Amino acid sequence: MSVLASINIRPSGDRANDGQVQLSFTLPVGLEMAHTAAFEICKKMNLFDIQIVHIQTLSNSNTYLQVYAKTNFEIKISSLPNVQRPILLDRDEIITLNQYRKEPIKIIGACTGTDAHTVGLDAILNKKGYKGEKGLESYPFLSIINLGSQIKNIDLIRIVEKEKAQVLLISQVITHQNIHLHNLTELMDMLEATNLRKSLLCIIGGPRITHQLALELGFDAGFGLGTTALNVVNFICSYFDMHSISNDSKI
Amino acid sequence: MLKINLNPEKIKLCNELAKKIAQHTFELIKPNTTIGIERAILRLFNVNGTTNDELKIPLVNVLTDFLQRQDLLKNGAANYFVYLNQYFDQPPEIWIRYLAYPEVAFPDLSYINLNECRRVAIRLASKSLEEIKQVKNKRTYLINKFTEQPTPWLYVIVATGNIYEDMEQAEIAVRQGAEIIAVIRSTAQSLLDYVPDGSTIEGVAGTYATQENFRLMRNKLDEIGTELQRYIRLTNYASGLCMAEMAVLGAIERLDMMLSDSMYGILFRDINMIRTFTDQHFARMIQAKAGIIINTGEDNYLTTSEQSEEMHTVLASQFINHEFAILSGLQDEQIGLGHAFELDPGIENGLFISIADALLCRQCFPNCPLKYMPPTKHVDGNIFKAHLMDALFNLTSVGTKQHIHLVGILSEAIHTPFMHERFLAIQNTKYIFNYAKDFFGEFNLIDNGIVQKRAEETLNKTVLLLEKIQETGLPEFIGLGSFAGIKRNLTGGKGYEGVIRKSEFYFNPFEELILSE
Repeated sequence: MSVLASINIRPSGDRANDGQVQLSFTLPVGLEMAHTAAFEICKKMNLFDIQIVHIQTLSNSNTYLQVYAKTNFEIKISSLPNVQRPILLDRDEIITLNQYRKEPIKIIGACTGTDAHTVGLDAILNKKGYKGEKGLESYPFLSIINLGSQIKNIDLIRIVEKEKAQVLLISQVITHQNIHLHNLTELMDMLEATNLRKSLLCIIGGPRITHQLALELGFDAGFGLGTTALNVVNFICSYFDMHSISNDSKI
Repeated sequence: MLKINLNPEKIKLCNELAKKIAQHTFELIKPNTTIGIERAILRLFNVNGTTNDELKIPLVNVLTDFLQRQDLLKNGAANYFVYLNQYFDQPPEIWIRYLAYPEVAFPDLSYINLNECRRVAIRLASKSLEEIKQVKNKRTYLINKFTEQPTPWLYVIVATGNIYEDMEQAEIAVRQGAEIIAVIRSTAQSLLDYVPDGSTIEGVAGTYATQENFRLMRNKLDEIGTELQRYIRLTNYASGLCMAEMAVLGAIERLDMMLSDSMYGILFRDINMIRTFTDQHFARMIQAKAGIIINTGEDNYLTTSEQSEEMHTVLASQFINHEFAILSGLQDEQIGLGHAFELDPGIENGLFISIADALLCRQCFPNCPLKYMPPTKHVDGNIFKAHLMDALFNLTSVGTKQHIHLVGILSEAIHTPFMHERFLAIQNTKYIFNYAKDFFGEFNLIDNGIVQKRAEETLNKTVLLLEKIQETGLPEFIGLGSFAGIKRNLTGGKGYEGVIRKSEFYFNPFEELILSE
């Protein structure tokens, strides 16, 4: 364990670990009451040195506040859940490592359910990619089928089966009222029921997706904000490399 | 004054090419009607309500499905409606419900004299158009009664998924300065082949567009508007499989703007091409009569393609959308062509490229109320940076004289905005619109500067693209995947089964009346 792991950390503003945080929120009361109410709420959040720096009427019964305050909460780095961070090989290294692969890895990508937002999916899949990072289509050892948006789970399952896909990439942008959770759970149930799950690497991505959430839902990995195609390719390759040793049939 | 030196011959050429493209496509759709258009006609005849069972099927669907099963929709629903209405001599809400019961005897419709029904249908249709005109006149009256706000108008979205909460959010937004309220409807409503009924308190990322929801929000905005002495415009969607019906409901309930694109459904919702082109033609005809400003969806191209490279596809599409709109009888003042501030914020001198793009649209369509959309594609969840990008968007918008300004909100790409996030966004917009009010008039562009060069280059590319589309034909061109990189074909996509080839007896009284004017 490194020295760092035993250190306690706190939010830091002006000085390291000074506990400074900024908050902004609306209270459903008028201006007169809002100031006092905000103060009490912050105290209940165990904040101290509370400064209400800005207060603004939004309507007769709504007031907006900006607050700076301090917290005493701290966390030991060693207590953090272990987040796997795969070593990032760059594009050329990955292509070189995979040049002798006999068959391309078959990947199907889709926005499922009612989700019509393909921005994330396209950023990861399209050859052109996003922010200078080329998409999965640009890797010669990957074969990509981009189904686009609003694919029903039932249709998706059929295509996965027909195309004998090895990787399933689901993008979920709309997370309003947790619709994505219902949709993803349904998909996982259907994959299990049709016996497709065990031969399929299942990945989800989207701005509100975390790796933790993906695992909870029964997926193999989740990619959230800031993900580039390179992250995803790295994960897919490391997965197939590992499994080529233990289970040849997977490739 | 900010003015790009553009060769007027090139703009003229773009207009001519777009006209040919639209005409060619129009020939393709002319032989068809759609089940959606026939339902829209019935709605114009005031057919409302649903079946009484738990399915709650709209009565317009019941009747058109009934006619479709007998292969009669090719003659148009209007005649049969008139005939059956006389036959039963009861309100349509009653006799259409009979269609659900096999034991009720229906007259054999295959031999009726269609000509006799036409006269009555025309009379009903002119009454209906007269009512739409009344609604339009009421809008004009209210706008004249209050003072008109200077442009760009602040266009603010509400999307709680519950119409009553939307009304509250709208009220707060209006009091903070919003001039247009757009009620976002439930994701994927565009794929429903019916219009849901009644007020709704559910939906994903917005609640359903229904006639009752339109009415509730309209009343709310009128009420606040009267208090504040402003006319507050209301927006919803006329897109998807019920495009024509939505246009009718918007006309009846005095919506002021509707998202109404000739190609969006094809490209982004995989709705059949012939269905969409046919539907949009009739939908826009009704919008033209109702004085509704349409909003086209070119901004969406830039959420999949990069603005730095693909701006000419936006401009080309605007020229085409504009011609389609004119074919439906819309005036320039009603054609809100869409574009966006989506340039990668990492690009050096990106502000000037954005100004060039916005100004180019402005100069190509000087009389159209352009709709300008805020950054979304390169917004990454950093709310402070998003707020700053929105500020530059605001500056570009006021500086290039945009008309309908969709207020960018710092929590884009995170969640539907909080009340105070909308406040901060409106505050940002108003601050810059005021602080840089005469930006447009205060500067001259230098020759061969970034703006001049970028605009010329984009216009040249647009000419080339339109030439290519004109040679290939628009439907074929979409087949090649040249708009937003998405490929569609003529018979593919959703809703193709609702395209019906007209018979020689086909009759649409509204089309006849509108075209004869």
